[in-house]
Amino acid sequence: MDLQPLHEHTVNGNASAVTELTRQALNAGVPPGEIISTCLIPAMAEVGALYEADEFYVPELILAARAMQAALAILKPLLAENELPSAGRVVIATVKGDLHDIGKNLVATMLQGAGFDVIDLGVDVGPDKFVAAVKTHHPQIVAMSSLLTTTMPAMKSIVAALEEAGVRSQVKVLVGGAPVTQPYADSIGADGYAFDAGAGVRKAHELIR
Amino acid sequence: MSDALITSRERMRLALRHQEADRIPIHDDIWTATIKRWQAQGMSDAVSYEDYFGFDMRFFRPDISPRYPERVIERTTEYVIEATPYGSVRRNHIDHSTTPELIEYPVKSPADWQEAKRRLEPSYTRMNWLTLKSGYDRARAENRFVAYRSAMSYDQCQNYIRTDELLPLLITDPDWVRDIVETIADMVIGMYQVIVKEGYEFDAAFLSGDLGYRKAPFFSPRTYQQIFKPVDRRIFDFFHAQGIPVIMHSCGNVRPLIPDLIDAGLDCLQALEVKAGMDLVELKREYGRDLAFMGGIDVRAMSDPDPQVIEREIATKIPAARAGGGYIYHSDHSVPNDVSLAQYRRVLELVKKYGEF
Repeated sequence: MDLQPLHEHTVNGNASAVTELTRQALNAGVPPGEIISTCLIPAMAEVGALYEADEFYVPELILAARAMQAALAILKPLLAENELPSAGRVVIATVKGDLHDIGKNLVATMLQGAGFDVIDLGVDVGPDKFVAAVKTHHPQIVAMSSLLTTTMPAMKSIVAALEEAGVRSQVKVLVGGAPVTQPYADSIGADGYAFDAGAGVRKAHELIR
Repeated sequence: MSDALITSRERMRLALRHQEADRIPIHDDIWTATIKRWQAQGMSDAVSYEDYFGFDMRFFRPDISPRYPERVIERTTEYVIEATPYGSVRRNHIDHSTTPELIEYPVKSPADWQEAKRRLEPSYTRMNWLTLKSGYDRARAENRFVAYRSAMSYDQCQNYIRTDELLPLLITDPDWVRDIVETIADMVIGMYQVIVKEGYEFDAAFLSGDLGYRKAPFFSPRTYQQIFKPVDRRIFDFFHAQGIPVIMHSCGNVRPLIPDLIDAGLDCLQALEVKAGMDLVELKREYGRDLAFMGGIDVRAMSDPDPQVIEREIATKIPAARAGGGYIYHSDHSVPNDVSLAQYRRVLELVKKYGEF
């Protein structure tokens, strides 16, 4: 079956068409894992590229991610756990003192769209909770976001807490948020920095390659 | 020219008309937590920070909310959770020092919006007249520049609908969003008329209309043109018909929208966030003939322990921005609490030094 229409409707964020075409693909005998890996994940990669090129803006990004989620809601229950294609596992949160979650949610959504298994700890998360999540979920990546200059230092504390708990070498630390820069990421010993959600997905792939 | 020969009001008016005065006008927003820190460092708590630093502008704002009952739901030593007059529930630091977490939103369906909309009528009861009268009389006696302040446009929509629900609606249900934006515009204009009818006069409208974040505008220029621009034009035209200019605040990188904002009639754009890529010197070069600017001085440079960093920031930007008028000093958003009082005093000294004509 030609999956190109499903790809296009995913890119264009048409959730109802994606739902219908996903069912049609399954009825035609296309394995659910194949639909995800050969159609949906490449579609979201295209969305990320369009967003980075300023051809797509946040509304288009959200609609595409929702279309992808609509397909996954049908496909995931049909997959055995080890059949689920996963690009890696990410623990994500905004750091202690930071309550604004829109940017972090966007990154989480894009990571899920790119096939990552995302554990979202929410907002205002301190070092202890990050450490506990690493021990519980064994992610490859710890991603943290800060909106304000005044909460950026919390990122350094989290990196230090991961070191102290002896789990720093098990994860790659990815940082982002409005005031964060590459030099700042370097200064606190983060492994990666991303300017926006699209770059965050790209960097996440790079970090666990 | 000395400060004695030119008033705040004249200085601001000249800047907005793209004319030079004695120096650039000065105004700033400062986070509450910063004020508390500065008061501990010797700043008087007997006067407002605008008075303490002698800023050139004073603002007065009406209540344009749907006036749902306000209450504190929970207060800890760190946080306060409040029900807002917009019907939302938000959590913030006890000193309101950051962007709050919005836990609950009032509008989840068109029916919810109709309920909120019924509450949105301009009214005499939406203004604190005592505060207005005392502040206004004093501002006029001191020859300050007095602005009518309100939120509008996309910025105000976010009080009703969660951002990640609102943004897709711009594509899936633009008529609904347009109705919200038009209703808000009616409130902004209607409340101005209520206040002016009582004999007050304003020198400008200062309207908060956040349109962007760090990377880009929240939505495409095409979406702006289709949904927001006609309403912005209506608002700008209204204030121009009253004989006053419009200063608009927007966070983030709104550069792709500037040609449309100019075309809609905007007079001055604030706050030019440096970390979002808003470069004051480039903006002045590209759009300075058609648009005045307010802001663009990086707050991160203010807190740098090396005093040369903030001097470089100001010395490289303000002389270019002030040329021919059309520039008002402001930080690139609000001064955070990692800036000390001594550091901020030096910021103002440098602004006056490099902002003199």
